[in-house]
Formats: sequence, C-alpha cells, structure tokens
Amino acid sequence: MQGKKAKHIHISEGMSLYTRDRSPFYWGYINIDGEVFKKSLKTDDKDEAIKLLTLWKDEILVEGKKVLAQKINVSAKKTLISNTKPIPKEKVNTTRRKALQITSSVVGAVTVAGFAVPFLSAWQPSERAKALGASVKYDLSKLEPGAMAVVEWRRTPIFIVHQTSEAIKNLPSLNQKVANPALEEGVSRTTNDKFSVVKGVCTHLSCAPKYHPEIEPKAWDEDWKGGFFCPCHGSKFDLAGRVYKNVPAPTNLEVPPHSFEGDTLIIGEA
Amino acid sequence: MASKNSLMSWIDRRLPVTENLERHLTKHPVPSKVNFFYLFGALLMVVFMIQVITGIWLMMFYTNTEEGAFASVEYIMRDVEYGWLMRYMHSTGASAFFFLMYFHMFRGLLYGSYQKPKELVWLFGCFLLFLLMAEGFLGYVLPWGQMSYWAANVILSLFGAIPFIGESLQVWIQGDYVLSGATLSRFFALHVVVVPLLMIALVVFHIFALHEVGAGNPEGVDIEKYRDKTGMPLDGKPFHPYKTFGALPAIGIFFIVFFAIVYYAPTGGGYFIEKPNFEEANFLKTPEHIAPVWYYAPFYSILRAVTFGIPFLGITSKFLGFIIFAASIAILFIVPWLDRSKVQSIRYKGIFSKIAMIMFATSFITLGYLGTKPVNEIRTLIAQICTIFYFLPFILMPIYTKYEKTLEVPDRL
Repeated sequence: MQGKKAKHIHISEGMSLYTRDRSPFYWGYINIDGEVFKKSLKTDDKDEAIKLLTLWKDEILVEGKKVLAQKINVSAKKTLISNTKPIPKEKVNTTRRKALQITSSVVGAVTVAGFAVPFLSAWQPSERAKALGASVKYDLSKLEPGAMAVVEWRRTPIFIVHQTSEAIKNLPSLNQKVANPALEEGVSRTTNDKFSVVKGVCTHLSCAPKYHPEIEPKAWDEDWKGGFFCPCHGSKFDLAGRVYKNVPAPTNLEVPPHSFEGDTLIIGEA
Repeated sequence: MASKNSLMSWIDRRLPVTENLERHLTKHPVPSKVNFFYLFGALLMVVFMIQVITGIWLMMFYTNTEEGAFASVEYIMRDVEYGWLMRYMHSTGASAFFFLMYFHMFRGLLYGSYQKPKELVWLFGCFLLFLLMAEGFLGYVLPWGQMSYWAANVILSLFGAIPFIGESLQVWIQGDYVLSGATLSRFFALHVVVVPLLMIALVVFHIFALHEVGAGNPEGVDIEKYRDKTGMPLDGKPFHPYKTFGALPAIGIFFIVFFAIVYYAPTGGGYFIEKPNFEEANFLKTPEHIAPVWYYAPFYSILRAVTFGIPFLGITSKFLGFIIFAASIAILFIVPWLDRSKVQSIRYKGIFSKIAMIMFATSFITLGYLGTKPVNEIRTLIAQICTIFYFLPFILMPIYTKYEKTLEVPDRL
C-alpha cells in the first residue's frame, strides 16, 4: 500500500473520510463547532465507513449534551458560547448597522408617539361635555337686596349676591384685612355695581364656602362684616369674594366669565 | 413515583419548575430568628389576594356610570347574595392593606431593610406604596358617594395648582370641566386594570429582588457568612416549610381581626368608610367637613399644614402644599442613600437614630389624627410642627448616622 496517495472524501459540513498512508482503513474526521475529532473507523468498505461516521457523530453530540447537563456552572456555558465562531469584525459594516439602529429607533419612537396621540386625546372633554359646559341665564329681578342665589354652571355653584348698600359701604373698610384689596371692575368685583358673581368654590381645595351676610361677631372672626366662610379649612372671604389674609385659600373667589343684559345675567359669556 | 418523576423531568426539561421551587421555596434560606414585624409581607400577599378576588366579583355587579354607580353599589349591598360581604371585605381590605403596609415599611426603617444591597427591594416597595395610594384613591371614587366626589375634587384640584399647565392638566384628567361621569369611568378602568397590573409586576420584582439579596433580620446579621456543607446558612432555614407554616398562625389571627371588622364594624366608625359616602354625590352640596379615610390622613395633614406660599417665586400656598405633600412620600424613596450607618438594625445604631425613629413615628401618628379633624389654629400649628418632625429624621439622617456611636454587631444570629 506504500505510495498510495492519501485522499479526502467530503461527506457533509464538518464531516469527512480520509485515508492514511500506512493504514488499510478509512479514517473519520468530525468538526463540531471548531472541536475536531479523528479516529480510524476500522473498515475498508466506504459505505460502512460513512454509516459508522454518522453514528459516531451522533454519539459525540449526545455525549456532549450529557456533559453540558452536568456542568451547571456558568463558565462551562461561557466556553461553549466562545466556541461558536463570531463573525469577523472586518466583515461587519458598523456604519450601516448604526444607521439602521438609529432609523429603526426613530421610526419606532415616532410610531409610539403617533399612536399615543389618539389615546391621550381621548381623555380630553368630549363634544357632549363641551356642549354641557355652555352658558346659562339668570333673571336678576327676582333677587332681593341681601339675598344670594345659587346657579349651576358647568356643575359649579355660582353665587349671585345682591349687595345691600351697607355691604357696599363696608367693603373699603375691609381693605386692611383682605390679601388683595384692589376691587377689579365694579364695586363688587363684577361689571355691575350691585351684584357680585363668584364661583361658590373655595380656592383652597374646592369646598363650598357658606354665605354669612350678617354683620355680627362669629366664632371665626369677632369683627365679621359679612362674607363667605369655608367650613372645611377655615378660609374667609368678604361679600365681594376677596380672600382674607392668613387663611389657607390662596386667592379671591374666582369670578366666572359673565355679562349683564338688562336684568338678565349671562354666565359663561364675558 | 417513577411516573411522577419522569413527568416532572419532562416538564423541567421544558419549564424549570423544580429548579425555581427549590430556589424560591424549599431551598431558599431565610434567617431563622426574626420577630413579628417580619410577618407583614406574607399578610400583605394575603390581603392583595383578597382585594383581587373580591374586586373581580364586585366588578360583576358594579355600574361605572355617573347615573348608575351609586345605585349599583346599593344593589350589591341589598340584592346581590353576599354582595355586602364582597364589598365590606374589599373596603376593609383597603384599610388592612395600608395598615400592614405602614408596619411593613416601618419594619424596613427600623431594621435597615433598605441598606445595600437591598436598595431595589426598598424602591419597588416605595413604588408599591405610591401605587396603593393611587389605587385606594381611585377606588374610593367609584361608589360615587358624597365623600367620593368631594375628596376626589380636593385631590384633583391639587393638579390644578401646578403653575401654567395645572388647569388644562386637571381638565384632561377629569375629561370634563368638572369632576363627572367621564372621570368616574376612566378611574374605574385605572382602578381595575392599570394599577393592579402594575402592582402585580412590582410585587414580582420586589420578591425576585428580595430573593436575590436575601431577607434581613432584626439583628442586622449577615447570615450568608457561615454555611453548612450543603450551602445552607447556619442561621438560615428553608422558606418552605419553616416560614410558610410559621406564617399560618399569623394569617389565622389576622383573619379573626379582619372578619371581626367586616362583620361588626365595616365602616370603622366612619374611618374606613365615611358617613357622607352613604349619600349619593351632589356637586352643589359640599359636606361640612371633608376628611380623608384614615390611611391618607397623615399626608392630608401635611398638605393642609402649608398655609403659606413663596410669593416672590410665584408659588402659592396650595402649590407649595402639594410639593411638600409629594415630598413626604418621595423622601422615602431616597432613604437607602440617606443612611450612612455601618450597622443595619436600630438595635445596634446610636441614640440619635432611636430618637429620630420615635420622632418620625410620633409625628406620623399625630398627623394622622389631625388629618381626620377639622382645622383650627392650634391644630394647624401642631400639624406644622409635626410636618417638620416628619421630615427632620430623613433630612438629618446622613449626618447622625455617620457620626453617631454604634454597637458591635454579633457574628451569628
């Protein structure tokens, strides 16, 4: 057999048969993920050699899995991972990869933002809610001096007070006690000098201040000149809705947008 | 047995059941000596389950509209078989949840359960407190009673106090210019789906993070130092069966108290369900006195204690109140980075830490009492002092924990 040329027979990826100079048998070559196995197959029949080679490969694979199952430590897993060949660095087009990463992130972000619009907008007041928020009218001729009417607008109680002349006279004397003495617009913080129109909602935490027009000592103020008192947290307002100093409410009672048409008060339209 | 094993190995090959049971239950080491403070976590899980199950059943009968909500709750109470039980278990469950949560967190503060490497466990827990507060608030609106409506108004107006964006933010949250049915139905969706899902996720993170770093103990001893041949810490016991069965008597006692309240005092004298809430919401009639349920009272007190703003910065007293109120919860999140002590447990910390804990607990309880009462000058002053005492233990923590004299921590439990 000397001088016989050694030959390689390729069977499949990572599997081949070859012959050696001084051996009558076929030899098997197996490469699994970079790990090489070689042995003599002890046969000179080519078909049988292929069969044995396949069986042997299965054996190696099964054995490998058993070994793997036994090795529960992380380092074993790491070796296995490092055995798989990474793509060589020079073959990766990093610029293109980066560009793709950026474009897909941007497109993804835009998509998320786009889809967020309808979902967030759905929380805005609906058309029905907007319609229910329209303006309301009130006939002032029914309201006696000193009396207060409560009208509902946007589900908020609106206090309409017909001021007595005494109350109007007292207002400037309270300038020392209130936080913002300036009376906007007319005498009673409205566009009209007889009627005060304020939201009946405490500017502290939305409670309803109570109407106390009587001029007499009160538990909360010995020198009470009439006004609104909030029972929740003790905020005080005068009859024009101006907030007293040193109470929890930060600002005057709000004046809703309103206008007068003769004896008719329109709340909701300035 | 063989078939069971082969079935288990078939499953384990596909889903690591055994591995995880061992990791989190049968081989998970927990300190062998702890005190009753360490039972609240398990009880919280029990209450969470009560809330989920009763909540699902209540959902089957509840109507989430402005017109139907109040009536449907009355329907549950009167017409649905055992509906009253479902509802009172759910409402009492809310109070129990907060009660246990406060103790659970106080345990954390006492025994340093937030210290390195438990920061994330603590953070997830703080997020859970925040979510629980949101969940409780959203749920309290659903019966659409007077207190539901007006308490929600108070809280939502806090968002309105934020400068510039406040008003439109409030309208957006409400879905209307006023608190209305639009608000109610979205609160329902948040209460039954969004917040509970987030809470479940956070509970999972909380427990996984805990199992990674290991449970603490009142001594602040590191039990991982000494192990036997099997790797089990000498001062440790497997979670199951030692702790699972150990918790059973506690769960039993808890149930006795819990159901005593459910059966005999479900409204808790107006502290668990307030009296005005048995009246339907009326947006033209504010109740004389708006008080929060007891579990929000300390924080509400802090909110109310701020009667002044910072005028030259354009900050109103209302907005400043909101900031301080938010800070009172936010400050809990950073506790792991405020504590510079060498030791974990209050038992080995110095005198200043002990004073700080007493100061914090006293002010928290006092604020809670004040929060349920109407305001007057004296109460406001006390609330202001207590607010300072609430924050001081945290603000000064980096100083006193660093310089105070601590005791030597033993090696073993």
